[in-house]
Amino acid sequence: MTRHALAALSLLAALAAPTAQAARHEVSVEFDNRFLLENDVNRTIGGSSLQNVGVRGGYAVLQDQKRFGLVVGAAWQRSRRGGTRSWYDEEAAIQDSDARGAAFQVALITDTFLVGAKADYDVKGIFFPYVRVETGLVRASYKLDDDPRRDDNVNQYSEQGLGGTGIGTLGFELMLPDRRWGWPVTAAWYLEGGGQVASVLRHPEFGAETNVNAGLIRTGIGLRF
Amino acid sequence: MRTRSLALLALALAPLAGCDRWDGLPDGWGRSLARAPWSPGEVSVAVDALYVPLPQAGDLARIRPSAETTIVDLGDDRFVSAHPAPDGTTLLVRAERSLCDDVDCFEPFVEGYAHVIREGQTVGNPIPFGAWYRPPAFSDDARYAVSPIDGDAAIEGGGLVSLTSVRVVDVVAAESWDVSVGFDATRVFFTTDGAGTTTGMLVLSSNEVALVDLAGRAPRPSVTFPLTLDDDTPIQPLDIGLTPDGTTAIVTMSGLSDLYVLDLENPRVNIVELSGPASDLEVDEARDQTLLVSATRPTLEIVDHLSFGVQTIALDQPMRRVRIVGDAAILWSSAGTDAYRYDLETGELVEYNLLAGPTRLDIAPDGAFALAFHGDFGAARMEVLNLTRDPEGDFDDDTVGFALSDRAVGVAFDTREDGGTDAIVLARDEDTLYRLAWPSLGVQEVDLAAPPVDIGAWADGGFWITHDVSLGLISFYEPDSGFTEVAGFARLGLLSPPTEPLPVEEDE
Repeated sequence: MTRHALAALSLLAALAAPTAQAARHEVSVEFDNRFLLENDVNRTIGGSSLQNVGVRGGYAVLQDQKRFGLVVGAAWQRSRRGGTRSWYDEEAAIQDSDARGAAFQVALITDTFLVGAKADYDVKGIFFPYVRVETGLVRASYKLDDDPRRDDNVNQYSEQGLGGTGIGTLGFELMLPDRRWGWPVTAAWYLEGGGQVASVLRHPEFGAETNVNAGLIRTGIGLRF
Repeated sequence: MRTRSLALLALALAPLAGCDRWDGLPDGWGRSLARAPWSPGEVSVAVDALYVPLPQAGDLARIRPSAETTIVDLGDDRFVSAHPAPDGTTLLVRAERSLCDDVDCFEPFVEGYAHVIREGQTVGNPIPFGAWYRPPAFSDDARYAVSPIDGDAAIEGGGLVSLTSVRVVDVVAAESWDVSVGFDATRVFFTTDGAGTTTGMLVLSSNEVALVDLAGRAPRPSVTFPLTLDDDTPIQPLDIGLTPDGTTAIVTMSGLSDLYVLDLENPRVNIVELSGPASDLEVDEARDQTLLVSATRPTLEIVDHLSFGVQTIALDQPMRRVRIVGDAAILWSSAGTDAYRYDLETGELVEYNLLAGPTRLDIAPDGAFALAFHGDFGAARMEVLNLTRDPEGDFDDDTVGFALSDRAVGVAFDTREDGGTDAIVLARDEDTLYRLAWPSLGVQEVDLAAPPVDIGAWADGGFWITHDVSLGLISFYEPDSGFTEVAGFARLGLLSPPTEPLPVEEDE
């Protein structure tokens, strides 16, 4: 048998061997894009999707050698978007150069606080398809400010809406290097897609409602240990 | 392991702290608003509150210095304009309602309504009031509001609108009706009985003046005064005054030197020839005469109400405006550099030579002095005209000039404890209030929270000041105690979605 064939057989043998499954506690930073199903955000702020940045931590509750793993954890994701709203009296400007205008800053900041569980399946210690289900709270804060250059002007107003939410996703995780190498910490990257449902968040003073029902795509990197 | 994971989590969270500072809000999604957040120059003053339009939200805010700001409930209607009655107790609010009469609502249309508001509450049901009506004119007793048709306005919602009618609103009863008066009605003038109760109105229309009985809710005029016998030559009445006894109306014509004298008791029309087309008139009730000035002729003409003879007083320049304060008539023109004080008792004429034609002239309520403003940024000036006789009985016709940073946007007068008058002057883009004391002409500067837009008198001798602040700022100024500020009211409903059209209710 040639040297190359022997090397290939050795590699196959190594891959075919059962993995040494260990606890997969995790901490990650992640980014997602939520494709909003309603027009509320587009009308008030702009855009039909919201991008979130977040962090996640999880504790692996299955410690045995089975290929299935279960991680319970929590996450926090935040999106921030805003811009200037301006008005100019064009009709007065035509008649009189001394026309009046107005401008202020509006921002929408959403915070999603989630707890949930992820069930995954170990494929060769590298590839982990999973399903994740989470529930929690979503908070949408509208901020109005007519002098964004300052931090202490009079007209700074914020109104929050709080509601429940649930997110379900399917995804996969790549974990490298393999724990079989004996490293205490491994790096991981994951990609998932799914959807979010949430109660309508109301901002009665500003006259707005925020609906964050959305489809989402999320990716993240982190450490597993 | 647990400690390590918590530490890593905290490390990841740390950079996100401090992202919500007010000077660090996210940006990049700018867009224009269809309407202004609020209208600082269109405040309606009532005895109980200020009413401030919020055009973007389609609402009307009720603002008081010592109470929470509230929104006037107009039901499903969107605010358009507010019109206060002279006595400050009532507000007539025009609003519009979006409707659709088809299932898919492809073509929504708008219907206009008027709401009668007292103390922030709607009185009665909304009154149909199309957008094709001009702003209403109120009777002095605040009983009636009358709006002629704007012939150039768009008419939505289908149907026919009579261009010869005016809409009358009985504000007390919250009822309305139409009166057919004549084509292209432009002005409304109310008549009263001896007790000051409004009994009727005179409506100026093209080629005619109509006298309408309001108390009887007549749908047509009781008397129509034709202004011409040749309808091919239209005559448009310009201004109107009523003699103190209420028996005669004096009407000026646009572009004509004819003065029409209408006998309201024995209906007939007399024509008095003036030296030129009148640009302004003022009834001198104390002396039972009418003063008229002309923008094209340098004359002041005085028409006696007994004989309707005309006394002509020559001026150096044509005057556009005339106002009577006490025993004097003040004349001025934005197109000239003269202003005059005409003593109605003695006939003495005092001429003031100004640096430029005033864009505005404000007269102190006691007639002691007047302020003339002209010029703009970098060249704004205020001239003080002394309208008071000196101890020798003469007038000082020299004006005293002041330079302003920008043009005046608001002037008010405050009576001091010693009975004297101070002028309060606000300049555009200048966050300073200037108090000019009379007769010392000393100037006191008071800091404002933001550049002002307008000023007006408030209850108990104070003043309200609106400011150029996007989310709203009104200062209530008490000269003795300072400012009370109400801010941020323009945020109320600012992000509201457009009102969904309502289905048209089918007639039963």
